[in-house]
Amino acid sequence: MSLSRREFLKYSGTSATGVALGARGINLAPVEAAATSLRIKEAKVVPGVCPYCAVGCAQLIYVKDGKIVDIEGDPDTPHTEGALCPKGSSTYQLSINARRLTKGLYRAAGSDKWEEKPLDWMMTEIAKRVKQARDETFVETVKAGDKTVTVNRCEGVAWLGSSVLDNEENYLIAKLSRGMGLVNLENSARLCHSATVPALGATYGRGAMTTNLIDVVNADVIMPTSNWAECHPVSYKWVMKAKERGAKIIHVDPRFTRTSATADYWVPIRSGTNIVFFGGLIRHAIESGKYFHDYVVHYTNAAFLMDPAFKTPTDLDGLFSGFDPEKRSYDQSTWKYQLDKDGTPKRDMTLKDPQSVFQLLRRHYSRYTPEMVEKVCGIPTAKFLEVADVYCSASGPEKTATASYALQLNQSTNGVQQIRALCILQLVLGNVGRPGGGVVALRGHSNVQGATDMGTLYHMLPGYPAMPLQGPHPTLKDYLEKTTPTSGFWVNNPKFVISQLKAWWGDAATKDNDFAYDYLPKREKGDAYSHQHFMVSMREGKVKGFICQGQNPAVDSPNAKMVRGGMRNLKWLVVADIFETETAQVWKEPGLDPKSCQTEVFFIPAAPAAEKDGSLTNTMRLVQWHQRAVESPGDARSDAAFIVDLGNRLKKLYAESKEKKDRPVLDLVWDYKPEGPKQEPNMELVLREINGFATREILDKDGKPTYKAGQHLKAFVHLTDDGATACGNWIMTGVFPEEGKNLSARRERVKGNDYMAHNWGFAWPANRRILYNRASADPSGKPWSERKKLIWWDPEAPGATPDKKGKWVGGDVPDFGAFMAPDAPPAKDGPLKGIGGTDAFIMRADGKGGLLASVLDGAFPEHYEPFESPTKNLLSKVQNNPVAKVWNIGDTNQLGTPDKYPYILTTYRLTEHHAAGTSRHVPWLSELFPGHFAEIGVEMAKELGIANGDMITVETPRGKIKLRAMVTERIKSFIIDGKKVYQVGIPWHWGWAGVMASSRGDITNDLVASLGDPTTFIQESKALLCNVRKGVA
Amino acid sequence: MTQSYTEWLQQSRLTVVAVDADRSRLRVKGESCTDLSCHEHTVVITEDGVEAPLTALHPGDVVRIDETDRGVAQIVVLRRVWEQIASPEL
Repeated sequence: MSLSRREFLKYSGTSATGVALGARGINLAPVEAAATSLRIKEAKVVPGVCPYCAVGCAQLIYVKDGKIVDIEGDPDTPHTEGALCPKGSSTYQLSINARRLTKGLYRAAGSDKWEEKPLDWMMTEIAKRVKQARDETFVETVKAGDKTVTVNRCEGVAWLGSSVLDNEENYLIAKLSRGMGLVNLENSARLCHSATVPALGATYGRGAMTTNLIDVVNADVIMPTSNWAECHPVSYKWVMKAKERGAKIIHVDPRFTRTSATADYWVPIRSGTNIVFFGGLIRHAIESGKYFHDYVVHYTNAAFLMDPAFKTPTDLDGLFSGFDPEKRSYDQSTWKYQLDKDGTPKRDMTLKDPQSVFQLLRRHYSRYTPEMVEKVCGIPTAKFLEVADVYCSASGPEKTATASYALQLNQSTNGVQQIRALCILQLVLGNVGRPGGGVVALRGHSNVQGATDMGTLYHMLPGYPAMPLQGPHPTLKDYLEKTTPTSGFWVNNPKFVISQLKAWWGDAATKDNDFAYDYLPKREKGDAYSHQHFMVSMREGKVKGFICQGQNPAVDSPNAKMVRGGMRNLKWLVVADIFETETAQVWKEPGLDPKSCQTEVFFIPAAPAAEKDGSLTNTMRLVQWHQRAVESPGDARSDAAFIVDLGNRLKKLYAESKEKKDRPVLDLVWDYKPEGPKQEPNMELVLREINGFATREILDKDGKPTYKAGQHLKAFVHLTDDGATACGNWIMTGVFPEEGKNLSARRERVKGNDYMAHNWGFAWPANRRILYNRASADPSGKPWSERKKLIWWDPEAPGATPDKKGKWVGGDVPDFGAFMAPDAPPAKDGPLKGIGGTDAFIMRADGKGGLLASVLDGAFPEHYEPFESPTKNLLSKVQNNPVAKVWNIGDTNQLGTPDKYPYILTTYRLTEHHAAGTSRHVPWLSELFPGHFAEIGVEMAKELGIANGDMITVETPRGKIKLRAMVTERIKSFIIDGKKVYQVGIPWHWGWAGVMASSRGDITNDLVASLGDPTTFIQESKALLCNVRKGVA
Repeated sequence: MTQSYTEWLQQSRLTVVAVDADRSRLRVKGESCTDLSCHEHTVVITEDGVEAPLTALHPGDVVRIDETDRGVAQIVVLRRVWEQIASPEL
């Protein structure tokens, strides 16, 4: 079959249809409005939140006779103004859908069919298998030298939470799985935005978006480096509003998209080379004098002097000092500040010292010239200089720029550094903590931020304390001594950790037993247990059982074909989902004999967001509550009900046990008052625990009660480390400050000048909408300019005590000591130890934005080529990230070379589909795309004799897929080091399961290699090499 | 321990300010700076639990000084200097 371009577009959705009807003069809007009014008349309205991407569009769910009749955007929502995209508009079909499974299904080992089973039978059998796998693989202690260390670790079970599950559900998964001793714990954030946290964290102190979507309107220049308009469409309105107010838009993307169409400048860039582009901008800002000098001097570590032995890739041809080629890691002992005789870091406020961070940064990026940008990125020098001038003009007191990013930066073997380069650029220009500034981290799932916050990731606990390691952290004292910095707000780490241990193990966590610290599993090492790690462990037979909720690793995993093989090596697999995903069907993959798969599979029917209570944290840290609108059909119920039920059953199975290893399960506080026929837990009880409460009466220093036992905590500064407070996740404290006052559920529209709507939901931490906002004022505390003012120091405002004056005031909750004067010296003790009046980045130990920081693969971001690249590295002799993770799994992870695989392949998403394919089960969405396709440029297509609509084969050493060619001008070739290179773009939503032919197709991630960024182990799926040929033979 | 963990951490840990291995001298900072003269048997216990000489310390490292059963001080490395400029969130 061959389609013309016109025919292809005809099938491609609403926009084409809309144009056609409009052309005939037919306007259906009034008819639609009348029909909707009739449908929702006398319906009950329930607050909802869209469960697709992380814009977090609040919804109104209309219910009549116990059934959802309509779901619309909530017009009061400050950050969306009631809009929904195609996915949000089709939320209705997540509930009302003939493809929903509403009964438990069991597939016996080797069987070729599902058997319908009662939920109780399913849960009984699942609990038995979990217990058996735990008991068979549990490691209680290990020998470390002459010491015996309690590790309470179970490596035989893996659990995949989900960034589309609620905060409370992820919290429950984290709590129960750690209680069981699991170390193989992840959610989908690992594969999409895991590089975000250490990148933003290293540079600013927190691993979350710095700003607020609404505030984008205040930007003078906006630089999306992802396809913002299509992947996060509703929030793009703030970009367009900014444009109406005169802002310039620079879109940096390998592909021309609808974002490019709205931009003033489209900058096509070769995938995987963003550090060179950002490095070029940093160089341009510094050399042209456009950087924000006063901001850089006072709010970053630019003035700090580095050890003379510290060397950068400028000195060492691509490496930093301390590289060990055998260990493939850095000894960072030269990566340190010089100290004076009092132990204070030396600084040169003139920034002229050659060992100052500023001069080192300048020298490091001196190699990233416009000509180098052209050679490496394929961006012509003149174009680069044009956009560099525009972007760098948004600096100084009067102007700001916002930069955004998504997976083009994340999914790389140097993903952390790609993001960090953008973060550094924003610091150099003085664009962090100020209106219209900041870094917008655009998350693709509704709760990527929340699932990450709640600790369903192998390496951390809820709220970001590290998961302990058996070597350095055998005891609580060891753990706290080694993970707690000596200055900055993280000095409060003991309060966070001990309050969490109290929340998990209650009365069993006492001072005498180190608050049950032994109960926490201890990781064997850092290089283990991530998504990619445990998928390989399944293949090797080390992981026996797998619980997978709300994620589809059969499709979304890198090297997905290898991963499906690994899952077929499991003894048992539990999938909880709304639809029958490819993961649930892994035993009946097309072309496979089901008998060859001996894995028992349990399918648990789940509930979409509209059918459960809970909260989701959107991409700007905004926590929003949604209510259960209706009962789920059949045996379907919330994921929380599954988790709580499983926990209760495990407790019963272990009830008679006298073994020490079972105490963490038996002592786990697990009373969430399940009720009703489906035994749905009370989710506000979970939120209360996350928020924190007093475990006993707490008195102030004068003996006056500040909290009664059981009272909700109002702020994280009230946490204690003596067991008097229990708190599941310290960053969330304040979300539920008193009984009956769930702030995530409040929905007050914008009032007066409060444009960021502080009374809509709750933004962690402490309802701050723009992080690091101390930097919105100059060092003396005055706004940098009237145009860009946010908070400022009011010396006449009432102070901390009646005898004192002075307070930070303005349009946001200060991200600073509320009464800490601008000229305050560094605090000698207390919750802000080491922080002084100009230390705007309070989470970092030095209080400054980190132009230079310690990251496993470098103190500054340095460009390395993707592992599959069409060119040699033109910046140094070091071709690839020298410390990246490469899985040695033989033939299943071979890498391609440009002689056999000459084309660059990049993957991406569409507006109308979602991630690994929930949307493929939704007819309204599936109708919008005619099928799986690859975008290839006109010139490349001509060379290969491929016409628009032809079936083609795309191949890498890991796999090959068949799909249709979309020949388009949107994909350009690049001239890289004088040689023409073509690229191919492929969306990755498709799999074999789907409601109609158009929503079924080959799995793009079969093409991706098993490679990982060294810090986060996120995969490299934006820059691969592939071959393309016409036909599918 | 009667102190809270947070106070204990703030008071029990010291930051290395300067190391003079040739003269077996060490300058550390707690509330204020102190110059220490190290015994010939003083050892450094690195983060890997390995005994090492004073040269294994770097200015900025966070340490605890313990007294062993033999009455000799050992300097236990708790955090390396570069960790102070690493991401507090992982």
